[in-house]
Amino acid sequence: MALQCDIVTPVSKLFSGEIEFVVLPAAEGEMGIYEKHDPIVTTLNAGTVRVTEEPSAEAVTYFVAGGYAEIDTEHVIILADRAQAAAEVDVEAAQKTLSDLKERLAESADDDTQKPFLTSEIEWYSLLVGEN
Amino acid sequence: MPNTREIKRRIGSVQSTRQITRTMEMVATAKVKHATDRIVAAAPYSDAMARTLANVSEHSEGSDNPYLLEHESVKRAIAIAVVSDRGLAGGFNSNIFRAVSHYFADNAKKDVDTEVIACGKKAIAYYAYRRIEPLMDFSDLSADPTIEEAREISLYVRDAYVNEEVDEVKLFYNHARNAADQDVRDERILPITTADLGDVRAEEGDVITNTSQDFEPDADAVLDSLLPAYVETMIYHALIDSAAAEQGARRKAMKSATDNADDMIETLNRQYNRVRQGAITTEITEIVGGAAALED
Repeated sequence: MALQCDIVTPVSKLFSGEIEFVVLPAAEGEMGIYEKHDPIVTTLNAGTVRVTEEPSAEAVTYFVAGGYAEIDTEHVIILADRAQAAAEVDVEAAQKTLSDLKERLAESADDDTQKPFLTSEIEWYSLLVGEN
Repeated sequence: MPNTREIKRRIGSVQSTRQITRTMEMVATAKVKHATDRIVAAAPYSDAMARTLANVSEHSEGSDNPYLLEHESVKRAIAIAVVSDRGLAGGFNSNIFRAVSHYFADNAKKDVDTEVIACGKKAIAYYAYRRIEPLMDFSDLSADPTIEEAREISLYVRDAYVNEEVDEVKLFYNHARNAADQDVRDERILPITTADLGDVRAEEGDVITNTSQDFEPDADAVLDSLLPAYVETMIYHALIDSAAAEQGARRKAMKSATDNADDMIETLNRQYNRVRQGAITTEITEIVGGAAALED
C-alpha cells in the first residue's frame, strides 16, 4: 500500500494520503489505479472519483467537474477544476440552487455575459444531484 | 500665537485620528496573513499544472488550439482591472487605473476598441464617473476573492475569444512582492503566449521529464483541456495575489499615517509647552511688576 493520492482544486487540497486503489472518470472510460501503474496523463470527464484507502474499506466518493490526472508508479495527482466530497453534498440545497440557476438562465438575455457561467454552474449542480 | 486650549483640542483630534489609523494598520496586518494562506492553499494546484503544462507542451506537436491562435488583426480588446473595494491603501488603485488608461490610449491610437471588466467597487465607481460601462463588474470580493468570480470571467472571455468577438485579453493587477511592496503587473491572458509555456518549463528545470510518458487520449487533447483551466488559474491567481497586495498596501499606508500623526502630536506638544511657559512668564512679570509698583 504505497500509492500516494492527492486531489487538488484551484482553491485547496481536498484529499491527500496513502491509498490502496482509486477509480477515475478518465477520458476514455473509467480507470482503476493500483500502485505500479504505468506513467500516464489523462484528462478527466465530469463524474466521480472513488478512493479506497484500505483493502477492505468502503470507497469514498468525490464529485469532480473535469480536469486531469497525473499518474506514475507511486503517485496519483488529480487536478480537478472543481471537486467536492460526496458525503458533504446537501442534495436538497443543491436541488434548490439548481432550479434557481435554471430560472436565471431562462430569464437571461441572449447576450448576457453571465450565460457561460450559468451553464457551467448548472452542469455542476446536475452532477451533484445525480441528474445528467 | 494660538492659546493653550486651541492647541489642546488639536492634539486631541490628531490623537483620535491616530487611533483609527493604528487600528486599521493592525487589522490589515491580520488580513495579510489570511490572504497569504490562501495563496499557499492554491499553490499545489498551480504548481502541478505548471509541471504538466511544461511536460505536455514538450510532447504535443503544434496544437492548433484556439486559445493559442493569435487573431490576424486586433479589433477589440478587453482589460480586466483588478482593484479593491475600499480605499485608504495608498496608490494601490490609482496605479492600476493609470496602467489601464495607458492601455486604452495605446489601443485608441491603433483603432482598437477596448472594454473593461471591473473587479472591485473602486473600479466600478471610477468607470461610472468616466461614463464607461464595464462589460462585467464584481463588488465585495476584493478582500475574499472566490474561484467562482475567476470562473465567471474566464468562461466569458474564453467564449468571446473563441468566437472571435475579442482579439486580446489583458489582466491588470497588483502583485504582492512582499508584505509591504506591490508591483503593478499586466499580463496578456489571451491568446496564450507559447513563450509563457516555455517559461514554465524553464522554471521547472529540475523536473525530470519522463520520455515514456503516455497521454490519454493524446498529448494534444490533454493540452486542449489544460489551457482553459490555465486561463482560469491565471485569473484566480491574480485575484488572490491582488487581495494580499491590497492588505499590504493598506498596512503600509496606515503605518505612515500613524507615523505622521506621531510627528504631528510631538510638534503640537512642543508648541503647547512653549505657549504655556510664555503665559506663565508673562503672569510672573505682571505680578512682580505690580508688587514693585505698590512698594514705590
